[in-house]
Amino acid sequence: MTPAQRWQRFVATASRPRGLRGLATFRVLSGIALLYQVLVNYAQRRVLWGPDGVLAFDDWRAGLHPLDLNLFALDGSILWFELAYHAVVVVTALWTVGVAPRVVTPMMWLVTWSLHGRNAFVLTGGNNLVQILLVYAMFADLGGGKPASRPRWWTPYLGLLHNAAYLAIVLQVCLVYFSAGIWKVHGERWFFGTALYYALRAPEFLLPGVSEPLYENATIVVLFSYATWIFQIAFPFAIGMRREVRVLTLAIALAFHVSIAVVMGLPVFGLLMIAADLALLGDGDYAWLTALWQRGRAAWQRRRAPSQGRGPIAAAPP
Amino acid sequence: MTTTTPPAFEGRRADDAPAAVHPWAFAGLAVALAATLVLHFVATAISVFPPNPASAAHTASVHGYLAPYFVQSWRLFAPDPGGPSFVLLVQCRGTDGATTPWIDVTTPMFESTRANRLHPAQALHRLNKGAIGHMLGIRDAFTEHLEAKLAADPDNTALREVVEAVTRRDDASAEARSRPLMRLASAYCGGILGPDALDSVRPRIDVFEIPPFSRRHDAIDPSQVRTYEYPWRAAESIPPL
Repeated sequence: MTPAQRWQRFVATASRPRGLRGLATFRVLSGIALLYQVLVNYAQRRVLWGPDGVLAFDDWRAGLHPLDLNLFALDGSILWFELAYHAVVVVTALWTVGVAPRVVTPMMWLVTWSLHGRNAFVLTGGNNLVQILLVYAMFADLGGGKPASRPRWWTPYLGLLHNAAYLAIVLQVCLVYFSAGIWKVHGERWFFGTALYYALRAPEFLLPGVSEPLYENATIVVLFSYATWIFQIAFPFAIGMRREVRVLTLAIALAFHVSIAVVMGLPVFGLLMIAADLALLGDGDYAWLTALWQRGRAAWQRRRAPSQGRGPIAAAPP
Repeated sequence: MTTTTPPAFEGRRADDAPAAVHPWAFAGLAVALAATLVLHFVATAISVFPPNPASAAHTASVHGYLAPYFVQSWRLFAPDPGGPSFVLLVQCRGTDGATTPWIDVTTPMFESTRANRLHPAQALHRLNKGAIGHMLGIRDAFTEHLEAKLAADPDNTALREVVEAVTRRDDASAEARSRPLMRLASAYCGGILGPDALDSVRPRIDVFEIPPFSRRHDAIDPSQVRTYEYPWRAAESIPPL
C-alpha cells in the first residue's frame, strides 16, 4: 500500500461516523429520565428550583462560579423562572424525540446545566455524568445518522469531530466506572465484602420484602460486594475487548443499574447510567444484536411451527 | 497542495460521494482533537482518582481547568457505604400562638417511595438530605482535626489562635448554612398550617446508624439516635410543601 493509499484509508476511517445508534439511544433514554425529573416535581418546582425556593436567589447567585452560564441566574423574578423552567421542559422534550439534534443539543446542554446548577441538592451521580456527556455530545450527531441530502466539503471534518466526541463519551463513561471501582478498593466494607448490606439497609434505599432477604444472606452480600468493585475496575478493559465480551459486559451493567433503580429506588440515576452504557455499543454491535435476535426468533418460530402442525386439527382423523 | 478523495467512499451511490479533504487541514484537526482529548482526560483522571502525588502537585491547575463545567466525583458508595441516616422533623407555631407537636416529614416520604419508585418524594428526600448535610457540614473534618490536636497539646498558643480563628469563621458561616434548612422547615410548616397562618418554625434532625453486619438481624436501636434540635426562627417566605 502506498503512502497516498494509507492516507486515504486514514481519512476514510477517521471521518466515518461511529456509534450513531448508541448515541441516538443515549439521547432518547437520558431525555426520558431528565423529562421525568422535571415533570414529576412540577408541582414543587418553585420550592426546588424557584427564586423563592429552598435556595433563595441571592444566596444561590452569590455562590456561582464566575464563568457559570446559568439561565436561572439572569433574573430573580418568578416570571423569568417560569419561562426558564418551561424552556427546560420544551427543549428536553424536543431533544428526546430527536428534533434537529445538531441545533437542539447545545440548547439541551444549556437548559440541563442551568437546572442542575440551580439546586445541586436534588442531583444524582447520573445527573453529573449526563451534564458532562452533553458537552461532548454537542459535537456529535445524535440523530441516528440520518444522511444529509448531499455531502459537502465539511462532511469529512464533521465526521472526524463526531468521532472525537464519541471517543470522549466512551472515555468519560469508562473513567466513571474505573474511578468508582478504585475508590471502593480501600474502603473497609468493600474490602471485607459487607458493603452491600450497608447500602441496602439504609432506610432511604430499603425496599421491604426485597432488601431483607438480600442483605441478611451473607453469601449474597459478600458475592455482590466483591463483584461490584471488581466489575467496575474491569469495565474499561472489557469494553475494549471482542464484541461478545463487550456486549456481555454492557448486559451486566444494564442489570446492575436496573437493580439499583428498582431495589434501591434510584430511577433517575439508573436510567441515566443505562443511557450512558448503551452509548458504548457500536453500530456493528447493534447490527450483531439485531441479527442475533432475528436468528433466535426465526429458530423459535421454526421449532414452534411443527408442534403447531401436530395440534388438534392436524391430528384429527381424516 | 492537492486534495484527497477517500477510497472507502468508492462504490457508494453517486449522490453519496464524499467531499475531498485538504490534507493539512484534516491532519491538523485530527492532531488538535487527539491532543485535546489526551490533555482533557489526563486532567479529569487526576481529579477523580484517589489522592496521589500527581494530584497533590496539580490540584489547583486541574481544578482551575475543570471548573465549573467538568467538575465531577465518582465516589459512588465509596470508600464505604452506610454513613449516618437522617430523619427530619419540624415543629410549627401559628400566628395564634398554637404549636404543633414534632412532625416527622421524612418517614412518610420513605413510605411513598417504597410504594412507588417514581414518586415525587424521591427528589424531596434528596432536598431534605442536602439541606441537612449543608447544616451539619458546619463542623468540618478540618476543624475537628485541629480541635483534637489542641486537646492533645493545650499549651500550644499558636494552635489555639488558629482554632479560635477557624471557629469564628464557622460561626459566621453558620447563619448562611442554616438558611436552606430553615426555609425547608418553613415550606413544610406552610403546608401544615397554611403559609398565611404561620409565625415561626424549628427543625430537628434525628441521626442514627444502622447496626453492623454482624448484627444484621437486629432492629435499629432507638436509644442510639442522636438528636439535633434548633431554636425557633421566624418563618421564611417560601411556597408551601
